[in-house]
Amino acid sequence: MSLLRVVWILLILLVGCARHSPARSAAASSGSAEPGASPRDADFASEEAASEAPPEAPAAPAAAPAPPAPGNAMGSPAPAKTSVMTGSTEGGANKPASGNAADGGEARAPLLIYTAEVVLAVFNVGPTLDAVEELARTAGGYLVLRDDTRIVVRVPKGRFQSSLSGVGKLGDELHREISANDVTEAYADLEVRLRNSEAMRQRLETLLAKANTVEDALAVERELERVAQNIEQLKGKLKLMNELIAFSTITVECRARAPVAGSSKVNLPFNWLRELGLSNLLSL
Amino acid sequence: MTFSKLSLLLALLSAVACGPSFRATTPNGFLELPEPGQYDYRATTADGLVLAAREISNSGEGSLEFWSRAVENQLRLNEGYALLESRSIRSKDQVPGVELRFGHDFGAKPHLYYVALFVKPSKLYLVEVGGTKELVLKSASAIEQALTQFTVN
Repeated sequence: MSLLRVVWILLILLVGCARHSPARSAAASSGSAEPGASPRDADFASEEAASEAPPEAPAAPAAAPAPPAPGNAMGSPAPAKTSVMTGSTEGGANKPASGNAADGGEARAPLLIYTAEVVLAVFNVGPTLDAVEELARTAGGYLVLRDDTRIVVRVPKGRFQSSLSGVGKLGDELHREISANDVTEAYADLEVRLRNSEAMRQRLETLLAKANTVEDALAVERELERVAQNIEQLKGKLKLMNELIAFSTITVECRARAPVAGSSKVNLPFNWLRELGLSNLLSL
Repeated sequence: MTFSKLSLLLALLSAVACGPSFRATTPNGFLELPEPGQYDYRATTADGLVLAAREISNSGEGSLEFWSRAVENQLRLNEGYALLESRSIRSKDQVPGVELRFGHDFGAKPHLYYVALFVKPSKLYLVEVGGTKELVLKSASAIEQALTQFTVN
């Protein structure tokens, strides 16, 4: 009979966890069920709100909350709300507050992943790539990838704008594309899922302590293992996202300078001018 | 035919037969090519660094500023070269000129291309040097020597 009870509790926990979206979490936190939610959801929400221990703060973005203003192409980034940024990570930088919109609290500043792609026309490709790499290192960033004509570097979010300006001075800028990917919702979702999983682990651990038979204990342990795996995965995803938020990616592609197009050309009626250049000189 | 007419004819013939009215010194490490192609003079190193010179009619009597600007526009705007440096120079016989230093990548290899211009009312003299950046920089003193020894008659 006791095994049946354990299985029944596990089933309720599983169903509740699987269907637990950030919006539902908000409803649960405020103690009211989402309109249209099933009575079981409402019950679970109330139960979880009552029993949920303070969640462990996940690793947070290492960058300051204020996003850089990377030029006009980016538009004006949303203003940072430092009031919702609390605590600090190991690196000492701010992290998003764990109390967020999902908890019915103040909305936090948007979490943005910045990426830029720049195409430069240069005379000397190798030294230009060296200069980009040096620029990134000076800014506290690092090299991600480099080949003959292309380099990818990552720089701290706060140095994104100045690094881009520096890159622009290394050659004639043919193309620049900047994008900011808003991951606020995805981040909040991950946080909520992590909190729920950790709460479930606590409940399972309590259940395990109360298990009367070996069978019960084994069943709970299996579930505990699955939940622990899930927690590790979620933590990994959060860590990756934190890094993506904290460091902006700049891709620079270098091309040899090309003739200017169309009306900017100057065509004087002297044939010898058209014979100038290395192609003719080096044709022995 | 009078003596004076004959002298004039001989002078004209000798002027035509003598070729260009400049003297280029072949620097150390270079070999003058017997067939200079479209140039009046061309020399090369064994590694392919090339030095060439030619004389062009300046029938419109363009100034040094005009021709240096024309060369710069042709190479920068029409050919995609980067102008790295521009400096005033003089030939061995003190004719004023200008040296324009350009860079260009071919494939992934940077090349340097120097053009020196000397202008006289009726003639324009061009000295061109080019090769990979590595070769040009290695032979910098030989190139400098060739330019300072260039004589416009």
